[in-house]
Amino acid sequence: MSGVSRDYVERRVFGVLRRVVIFLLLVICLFPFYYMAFLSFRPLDAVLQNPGALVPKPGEIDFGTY
Amino acid sequence: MPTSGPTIPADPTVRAPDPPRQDDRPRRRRGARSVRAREDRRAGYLLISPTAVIVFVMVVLPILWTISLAFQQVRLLNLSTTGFFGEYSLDNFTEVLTSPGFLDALVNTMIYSVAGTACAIGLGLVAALALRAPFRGRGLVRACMLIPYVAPVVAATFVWKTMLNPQFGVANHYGTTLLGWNEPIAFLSSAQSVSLFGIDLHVSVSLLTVVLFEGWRSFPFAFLFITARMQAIPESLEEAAMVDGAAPSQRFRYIVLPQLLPTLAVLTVLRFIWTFNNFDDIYLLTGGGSGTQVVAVRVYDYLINRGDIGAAAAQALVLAAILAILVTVYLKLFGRSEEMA
Repeated sequence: MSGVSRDYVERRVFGVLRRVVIFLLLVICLFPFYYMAFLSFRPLDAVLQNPGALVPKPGEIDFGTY
Repeated sequence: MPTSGPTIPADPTVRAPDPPRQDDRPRRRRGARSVRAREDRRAGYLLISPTAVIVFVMVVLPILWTISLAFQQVRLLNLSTTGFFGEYSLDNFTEVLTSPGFLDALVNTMIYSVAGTACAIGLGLVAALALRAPFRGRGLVRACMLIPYVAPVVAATFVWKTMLNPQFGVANHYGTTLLGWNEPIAFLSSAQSVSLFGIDLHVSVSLLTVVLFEGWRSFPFAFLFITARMQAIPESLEEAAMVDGAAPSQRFRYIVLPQLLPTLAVLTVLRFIWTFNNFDDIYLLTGGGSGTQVVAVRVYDYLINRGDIGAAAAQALVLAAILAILVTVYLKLFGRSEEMA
């Protein structure tokens, strides 16, 4: 009986963990490169003034670096 | 010589016609075969000679050159007058081995390679397990997992340097505003020692960051290997275990892990060698400062900053020797169990 419940508990726990892990892996793999692309559109003083921004403001996109 | 019967001349065309004798025939046949074998062998040597020449010029010669330089007093000033043979001495080795910071660099290299390898393989194993069961978009997610490995190292180090910057890095911004850090952490330039649960680990913050970066950057390699091996595990084994009531953790421990062990062993050796010799990641992230100087960075430092070519060569040889010893010990300890598994 205890084996069945252990199986059930583990299935649930690992099922949730799996989603969390996949999400975290995607974040660590994609975020740095998203951020790199994002930085390329921002002027330097905007980065210095507001370092926490993660999505570009409408007027902020600047292709000057290209 | 004359007592051993008729000898076979090297050239078959000028062979004297021997009187056919019963005991002579097998010997003559063997001789004919050896002539042809010799010709075959000559053709073989001819065919591999380009490869042999290239390997000699590109691999063996530079190594011999390094060994020669390591025993001579070579600096940038007298490089043009230095030949392969010169006054050999052990001065470079005594200089390198007794210089301050060599032991620290060695300890750093060990910590970096062991922890970096463990991080990379651990993360790769977790990723491979998480992406094992099929779901929609799994191929895309798997492709995304490879990005850190295939991205150019300069780009990866640049973006992490920016994100971890104490002034305008996004990590420190959210760390101080959301997570309540008292002050920004200089991830890549702090020589402060990390302590975990009140125990001083004698590892600087920068070294820890560099190790984590190595884990992040090379886990896709381990992930690929482990995923490939996992797909070769026969499903019937796990189904049988499931019928017997094995929980997921038991199925992993007793079915999946034993089959992965040979792959993990190979991965450990490969990653350890590459991490041990790694130079560019650390050099680009920290420049070898604040407790992250590894032996490979020291070689570069001797060569470029001090212009001491002999010492750089000696340091590189020491690095290679240590690596050879470590890998030999590893293979002696685990080589046999690898074959059994």
